[in-house]
Amino acid sequence: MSLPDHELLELNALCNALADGAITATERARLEKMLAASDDARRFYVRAMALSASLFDYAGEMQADAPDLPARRIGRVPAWAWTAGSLAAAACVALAFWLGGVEKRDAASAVARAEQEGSDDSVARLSGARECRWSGAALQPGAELQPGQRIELQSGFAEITFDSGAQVTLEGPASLELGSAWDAVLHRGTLKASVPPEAIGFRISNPSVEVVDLGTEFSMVADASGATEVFVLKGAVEAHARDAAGNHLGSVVLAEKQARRFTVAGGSDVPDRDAKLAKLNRKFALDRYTRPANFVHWSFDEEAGPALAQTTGPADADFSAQLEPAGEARSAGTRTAGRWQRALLLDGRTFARAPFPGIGKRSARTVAFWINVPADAPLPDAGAMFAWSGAQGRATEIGWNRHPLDGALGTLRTAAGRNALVGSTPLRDGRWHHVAVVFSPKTKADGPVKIRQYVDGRLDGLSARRNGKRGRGAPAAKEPASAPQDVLWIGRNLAGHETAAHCRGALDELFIADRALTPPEIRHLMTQNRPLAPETLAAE
Amino acid sequence: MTNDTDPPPDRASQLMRLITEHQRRIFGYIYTLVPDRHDAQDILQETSVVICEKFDQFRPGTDFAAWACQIAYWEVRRARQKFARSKVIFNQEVVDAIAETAAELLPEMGARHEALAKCLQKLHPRDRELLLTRYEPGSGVEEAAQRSGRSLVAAYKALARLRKLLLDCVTNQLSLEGAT
Repeated sequence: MSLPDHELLELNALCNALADGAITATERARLEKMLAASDDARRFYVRAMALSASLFDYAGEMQADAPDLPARRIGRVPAWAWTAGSLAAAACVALAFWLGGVEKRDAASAVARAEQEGSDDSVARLSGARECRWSGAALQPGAELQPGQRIELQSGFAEITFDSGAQVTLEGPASLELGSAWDAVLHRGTLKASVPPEAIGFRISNPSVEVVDLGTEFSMVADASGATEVFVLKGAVEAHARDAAGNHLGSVVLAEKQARRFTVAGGSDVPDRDAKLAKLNRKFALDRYTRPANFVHWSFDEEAGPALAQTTGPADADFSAQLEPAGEARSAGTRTAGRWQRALLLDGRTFARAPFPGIGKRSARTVAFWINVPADAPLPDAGAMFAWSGAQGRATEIGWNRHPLDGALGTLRTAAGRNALVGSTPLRDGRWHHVAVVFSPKTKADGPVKIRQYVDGRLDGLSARRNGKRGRGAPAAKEPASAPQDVLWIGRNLAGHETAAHCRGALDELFIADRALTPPEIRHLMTQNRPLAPETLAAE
Repeated sequence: MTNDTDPPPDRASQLMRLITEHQRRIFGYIYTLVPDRHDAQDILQETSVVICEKFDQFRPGTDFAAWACQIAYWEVRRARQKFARSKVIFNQEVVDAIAETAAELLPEMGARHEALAKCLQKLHPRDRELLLTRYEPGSGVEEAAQRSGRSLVAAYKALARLRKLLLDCVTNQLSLEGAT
């Protein structure tokens, strides 16, 4: 806690006054100011208020569990103790509202959209185009796009795939400014956005409206007068109208085939809606810029035995992994029920090594796999799921976070050299999670390697940056000069330390690709357990 | 939006199980954004409705509490629009910042709740009684003061002291557990 003592005392007093309903207007303003200014203050506040929330819970339980207490103390069941009946009834009522159009309803979206990207990193790439003419510098196919970059398209169609998985097709003349992997500003022109469930919360804004996606396909047309028309082609969006000063005027949820016109004066119906919808719904093919990827895949489906053969991979190389420690009668118990057929069971001692020529080279790659970490896995069992030695003595390790200062414990953590990226989705819950870590080296020869993490298909790797700092260097990422090159370690940190940490859990369906996979490709691996064929990629 | 009123039975029981398991964390999340017990409970009810509506969008195996808290976040925003400042006492920017921190800290909340049980056991029974009376449904500081024979001012002071004690105890408890 880095708040000075006097501020901490003050904050504590304010939280107490708030919890007991005794806070004055001046105190509330002071608390608001402190919370706005300091991350530490917010953390203290959230923990303090959560303590009160827990106390409500325990106090309620005490009552329910103590029927022999005096009658006045036997309280009603807390209003928020739901029963199956009331819940189903609630769902029906809500549906009636929805169908009757009585009540507009904001709905689920992602808080995570607020995550900020590091300014030096790309947040999207130009993934497809047709007959593009650019105002200003022409964009190259496959170009990485930076936050703040403005895409000025004179004519033609350009498809941009954001790191979050959202895809936007611009129709020229149009101007789009990228904010982050989760948002962009449409200055003028027409766009169509397709947002998979993993990218829910993606938003497009402009001066008159902000559209937050609820898992859908929508179009926006911004004309020169500042008016914007929003069309929902599939699913639903939440549109927040704004006035000229940027103040929030109100929100509306638009469902499939609905449309709304927004100006700084407010919303209205869209003239010729059906004709415009039909035009926006037309399909056309784009040229894509994705070269086929090469994969090495271990399914871990062998019934037993110390050898873990690759299921697919180059014909002229053997990537078979060997379970260790060798010679122990451990191999019988090293398989378990997997996400797809059998999985490799890591008991905190077992690990495997696979020959992998070139794994240490500074080149683009994607490591995708399923992992199931027991909910009670202790910190010492946070050994790497995968590790390898890199160029210039840099090591790479993928595992779960055990450093409280780097971020939430038990979330996905990728350490490469001195940098660590920590996610926010807890992995340590005894459930299967799909993980993909994408490495893309910067063009500068010795520049850092950009890392993106996806957990269950959703971009999950920005928390360490959001706090304005990269994670601390992984202590285990220091490797001895003698560390073997061209070896992929499965289930442990790099060798060389007297006690390399081992991983506990189950691993399944490891794919290593020789380029940065796109969010749709990662989603396909997750749902189909096989790479997305190039022809499918082009057809989608 | 489908025309089905309810999820199929297995999904419905899954929904029930998840909600029962996580409602305390969802309530805790809402309470940090709307620090009034009754308002937070109202928003929790609203949130439950949306969770039901949207449950077909929830992917099994992903973090239900995090997903539900995103829904709760939007319900808090909606409450602000509906009730002006009566329910949401902080401005939207601060609410957003708190929401972000609360979402970040969500994974540790289960352990904190658990640790609090141990810490409550360490309190003097008289102090525990005061604290739990204050937090009982339908009760408050006044009732806690009355029942413990304290003045109102003394009760406020005692509650503040006990909360700080518990907050520190929970932190210690967690670092002890983390160290083993």
